[in-house]
Amino acid sequence: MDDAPHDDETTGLTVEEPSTWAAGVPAVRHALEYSLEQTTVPRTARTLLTMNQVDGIDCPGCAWPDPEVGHRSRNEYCENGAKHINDEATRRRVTPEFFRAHPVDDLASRSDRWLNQQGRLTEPMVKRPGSDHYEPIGWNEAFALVADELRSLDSPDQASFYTSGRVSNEAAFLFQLFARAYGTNNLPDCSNMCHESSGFALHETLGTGKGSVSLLDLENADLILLVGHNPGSNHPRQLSALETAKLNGARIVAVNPLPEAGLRRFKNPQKPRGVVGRGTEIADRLLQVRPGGDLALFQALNRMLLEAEDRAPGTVLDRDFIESSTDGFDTFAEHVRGVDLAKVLEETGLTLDEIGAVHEDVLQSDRVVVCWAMGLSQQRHAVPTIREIVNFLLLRGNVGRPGTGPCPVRGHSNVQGDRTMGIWEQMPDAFLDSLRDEFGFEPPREHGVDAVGTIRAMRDGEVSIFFGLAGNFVRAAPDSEATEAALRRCRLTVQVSTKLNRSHAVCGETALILPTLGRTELDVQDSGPQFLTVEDSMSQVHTTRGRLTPASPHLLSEVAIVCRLARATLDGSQGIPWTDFEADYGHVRDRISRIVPGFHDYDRRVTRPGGFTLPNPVNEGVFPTETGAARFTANRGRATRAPAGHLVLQTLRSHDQWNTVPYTDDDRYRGIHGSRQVVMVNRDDLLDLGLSDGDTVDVVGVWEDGVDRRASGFTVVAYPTPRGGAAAYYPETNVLVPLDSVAETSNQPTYKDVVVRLEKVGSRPDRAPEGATA
Amino acid sequence: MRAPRPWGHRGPGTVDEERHLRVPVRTAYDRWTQYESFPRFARHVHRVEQVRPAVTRWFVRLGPLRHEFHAEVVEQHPDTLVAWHTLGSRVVHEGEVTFRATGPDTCVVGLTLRVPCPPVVPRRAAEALLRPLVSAELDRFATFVETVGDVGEAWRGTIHRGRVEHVEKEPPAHPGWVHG
Repeated sequence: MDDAPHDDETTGLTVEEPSTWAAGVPAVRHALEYSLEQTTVPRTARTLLTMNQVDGIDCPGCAWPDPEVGHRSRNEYCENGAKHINDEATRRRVTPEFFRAHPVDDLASRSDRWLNQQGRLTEPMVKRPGSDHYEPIGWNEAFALVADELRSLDSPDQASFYTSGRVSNEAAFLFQLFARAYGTNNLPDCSNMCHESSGFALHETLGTGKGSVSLLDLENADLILLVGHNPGSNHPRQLSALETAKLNGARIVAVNPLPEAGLRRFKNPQKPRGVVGRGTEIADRLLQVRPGGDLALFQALNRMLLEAEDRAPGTVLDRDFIESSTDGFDTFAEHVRGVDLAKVLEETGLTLDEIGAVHEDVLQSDRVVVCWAMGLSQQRHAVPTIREIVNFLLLRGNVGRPGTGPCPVRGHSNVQGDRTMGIWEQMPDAFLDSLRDEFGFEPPREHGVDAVGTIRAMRDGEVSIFFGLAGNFVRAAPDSEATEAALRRCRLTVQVSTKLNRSHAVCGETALILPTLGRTELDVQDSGPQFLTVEDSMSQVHTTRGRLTPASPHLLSEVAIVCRLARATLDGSQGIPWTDFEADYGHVRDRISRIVPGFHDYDRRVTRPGGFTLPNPVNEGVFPTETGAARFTANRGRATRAPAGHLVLQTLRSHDQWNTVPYTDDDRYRGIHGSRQVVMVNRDDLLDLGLSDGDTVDVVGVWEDGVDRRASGFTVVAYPTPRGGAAAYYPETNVLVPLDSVAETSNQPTYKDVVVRLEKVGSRPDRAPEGATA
Repeated sequence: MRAPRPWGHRGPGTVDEERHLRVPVRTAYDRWTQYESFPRFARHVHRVEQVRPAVTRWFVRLGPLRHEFHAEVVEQHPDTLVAWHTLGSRVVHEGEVTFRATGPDTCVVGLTLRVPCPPVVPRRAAEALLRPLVSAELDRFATFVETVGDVGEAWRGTIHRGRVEHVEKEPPAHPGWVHG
């Protein structure tokens, strides 16, 4: 398509005051502008009006659940979802001619935004050893190439099979089946990098790796704590649920280092008060906690609850519940009573009055929900922090009742479903036994490698084939230079993709791009049109059906790619009917129904309007932990304290971005336009560091290995972050996140917990006048 | 904080009804707690979905009016008591049904319903409007349960203060592994 950008142009940085509200009419305008820039009016209408509707397209933008059938808006999407769906539905095409004009080195020099803006991939392409260009390759030859390489390995564990959260349940199930039939549990996924800490903490304490909250709970809570997440940009449809909760009488406390617009006020563009009125105030209190101070905050709240119970026995804690359904209370209580409140104030950067006010809110609330996202899970002590949140909920019986519970808010649209389907390097034996019994082969039992483990293994030469089913691994991963070097060591890298990204440019000796259908597109197989299924962040399993003509006649579905690869690679002795699976996805769902607990009668139940909701044992009074009880835990861990002259950096996404893909260089809500090369720092910290707003700096990571990790040429923006903290955009600053800096227990990279120093290299470009507003 | 139930200073309109049934108390209780079968006897209940053991979703019709609401069971004790209230602010009511054996094959079922009174309607008038409705539905339940009889397999768990206290302590089939 000729309107794709030819050059990597930037407009230059301008900075305005951060916005104090989210969405409203500008959200509609920006969504339509971007959509119509990418595709036509009729295609935009077809995508948007079927998004998140029964029998429509599940928005790949995030994992937020859909309202109940009968309560969905005609326009059931947000600004970011609209952009994302039409980013996929774009009329721009990446053809073989494009690859002839752009060698791999050229692609590697381009920005994420430029690569994405080139459009949809149209044909399988291969970069052969020694070549600097991708060239067309037939599908059969491509599968034969991968199969030959896989069969030539000394061990199946020398290959790693990565899954991104866009992948459907059917494709994910087949992908893990293929990997295990091939002989490895090397199944890293994007969960390893986003909510792995949540899964470990919840599984240990409540016996379920997922949240227990539904929209109904959120809308009927008395008090909602939003901790370490930014709903306005990362899951904007949550704002509608929060608005409903507020109208039902809930109070909301936001705990976040940055005063994000979506935490403050929501102007719902589908309601008059959101179009011409002030909208709805979201947070009644905003606690700007220091990065990593959340554990201390919840320990303080828990100590205060215990002390309130001491003062008025039988009135604060849910003693019946604690005695009948939990264990570990005494140890926990002894530990948390010893928490030093002076240290809490230092760790959190909050005042005792601020914490005390939240404590009063808690005392007056019968039903409490805690939502969180990566602001917690990507800390080094993320697992203890989330366990402490569980303690907080257990104390007053805020689990297993309507309007209560833990709510990890997941990002990628089917990230939860992919794990449900068995994409995990540590699947339990019961699941592997079911695979064995169903398909007649013995799956490997030794745990595989996760995302960080895969990078290490590639770096060390232990993995030489990387296969990515969707996603942009090289940009999503931490320690960008180490990850890129590791991928470049591979003999073969394979990427199943809809659009161009940096993972195609940073590749192995041989590299394949296998273009695939998007969610928006018709998927027709030998038995006729197919639908796919996904699971959202609140365990609703439902269908997704594309409607658009595929971007190219050469595209295969992800299911077809996995099935054909399996047929080419495996010798057939397992008797897995890959051809049948490809022809009719209902056959895949039949097998899933016999293997994955909770999926009985899957193919029939999922086609009901709205699908079905997987049961959560917590809501049925059961805690399938090691002890059969909900578990209080005594948690230790301190927020990272940067040494003098240093800051603790968190990486974050802009508003105009989907995962690793920026749509523009603007971050409207934070008032930053025209550049993503910025680092946001508290004005007082700038004074202490001898820096000024607008200075150009290198952001330099500090880690125990002494490696020089550097993000160069960033502009300092004075921003209302807490003292000692800084923020900069992901994935540009992933280069600063050391590969070995991971959360305890979960091995999740610590994107929100990076010690940096700022080295001044120059002074700054133009900026808007002080006091200008968004 | 969540506003108290909007009964206002006049308190709710309250209707109490009782029926003597010629079935064992267990049969009456089990039939009542099969909420999804309410449309088989209740004229105004169009559909019921069991969302969780303690939460149901109701679709009711009153003449030309359609209402939908979620109900939370706050107390449920086999063969004794079911108490509930609605969630959300659109359709508000609360109620309880009691079960008492009067013999091996007979029992008494009592139903209490509390609703807010509209601003200009006296409480007694509201109750007078509601009573025939409740009475007729309870009659239909009595006829239904005496005609259809036993349920077969029924959920016999306990709910206390909105929390399920499961009998078997077996988790439902679910993918229980760590989810990242």
